[in-house]
Amino acid sequence: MDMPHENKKSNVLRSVIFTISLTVTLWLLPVNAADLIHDKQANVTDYSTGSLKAIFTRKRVFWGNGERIRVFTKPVNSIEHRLFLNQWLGISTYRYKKLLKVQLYSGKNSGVQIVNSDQQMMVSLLNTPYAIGYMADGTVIQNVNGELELVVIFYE
Amino acid sequence: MNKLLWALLLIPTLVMGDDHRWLDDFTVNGFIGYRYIWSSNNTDLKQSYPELGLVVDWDISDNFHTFTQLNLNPNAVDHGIEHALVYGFVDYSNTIKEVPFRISLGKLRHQFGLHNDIIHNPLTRPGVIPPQAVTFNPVNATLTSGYGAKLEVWLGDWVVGYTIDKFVTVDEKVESQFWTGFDFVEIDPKFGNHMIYTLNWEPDDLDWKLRSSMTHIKFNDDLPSIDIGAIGIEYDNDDWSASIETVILKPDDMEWFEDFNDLRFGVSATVGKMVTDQWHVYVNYNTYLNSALSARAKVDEEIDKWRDFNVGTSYDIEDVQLRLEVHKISGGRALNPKDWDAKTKSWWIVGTSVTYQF
Repeated sequence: MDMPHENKKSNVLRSVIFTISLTVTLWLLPVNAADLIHDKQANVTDYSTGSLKAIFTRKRVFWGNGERIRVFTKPVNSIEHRLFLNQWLGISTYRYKKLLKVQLYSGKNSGVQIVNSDQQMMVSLLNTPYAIGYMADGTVIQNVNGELELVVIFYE
Repeated sequence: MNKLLWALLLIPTLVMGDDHRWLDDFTVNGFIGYRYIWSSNNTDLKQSYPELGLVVDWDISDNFHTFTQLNLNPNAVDHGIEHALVYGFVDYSNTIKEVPFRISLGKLRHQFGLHNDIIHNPLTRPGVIPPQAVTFNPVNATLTSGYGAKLEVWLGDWVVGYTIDKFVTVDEKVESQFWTGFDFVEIDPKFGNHMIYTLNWEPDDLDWKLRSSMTHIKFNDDLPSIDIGAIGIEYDNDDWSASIETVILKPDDMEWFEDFNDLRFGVSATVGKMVTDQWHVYVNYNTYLNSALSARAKVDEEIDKWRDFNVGTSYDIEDVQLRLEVHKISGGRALNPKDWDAKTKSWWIVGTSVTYQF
């Protein structure tokens, strides 16, 4: 059933105001991802390092429920990204780029979306259903049904 | 190609409906660079040219996607702009059921050996010049792409695939000569004359990769068909890497087991080492055996062989990649037929490339 035109407009307006407010708030305050998510009483999800590698290199592009995984990362050559790769995926930037390029240039899957800061990361994750990304401190976060969840990673 | 491009634009519009998130799901990537080849022999492998590529992916919905790649290559310049389309297809992925599958329709890039689907691209191809014993340069279209349909089914870490299409040719005379030894045989691509069965193993940790395929191809209605089996395995632990792959050709009048020792086959083996996070070195040996070309086409026995020992290195500086590779070659089997009278006993190729990714 179509939504009344006015409702549609007000929803869009509400989303825009929410996004702007969140961006400004995150910009002004130091971001602590874990606090922010715990405030929302979100769940915690477990992943192995192998699963995480498959997700962030775009080999795996669907969640178990069939929803498409949207991946957000920091710029590929940034220090934050290098630390993330080293800490959780256990691979070098060179190999990460190679794996991503093979997926991208062989017509298997599209690439990742790049954000430049933690603020942008949080906004993107909040606004993108079934997205996953990470913060500068290495915290991995995903959007599940509109709620942000902390991801706990265990080594295989 | 125009019809295909229109279809790629039109189908997403029909499927999209009221969903206006599409702009977020539209990604464009590409590369620009130059490949320079020096050779002590005058062959078509000695091709230096600028490389320009564009990849446009569109996640129309969770299940429908389009994938398009354009590459300005020598085939596009010499034989028509339609050869600039590396692939362009629409696919449907079903992941909700217990057995996920994917169907692709359009111009497809084939699986053949470990690297056929990525050798057109300087950023992903194995080396400046891919191993010719497996991915022959003269046949740069017949086994690489076609217009048709592909089905892939995931069974855990295994992927089973089937492709049926009308294969693409670039120069029918050259390809006829390469495959049959004669240039008066006409290649006549038809839908259904080319089928590929694939079985791949791709575990999540990405350290190992196994790819195998069986290609069935019929060049025209009068010629007997050819079966081409390919299998390759690759290991990469981020420090060391190694791969070995082989391709075996079986004409219709021979048997897999009874005539196994007489079948034509190519082998390629590579070992690589990451020296630093940006610097990679590798060594490769590839050879083509039992081509039996001399018996049919009356060419010199040296031309009948192919032995290529090469060393290479690549260095990444942010989004720029530099490559250098030196080949010591004996034989001429992987060359275009017009180069078969070249000095093939012992010759050199030096290849280098610079590529910027955007």
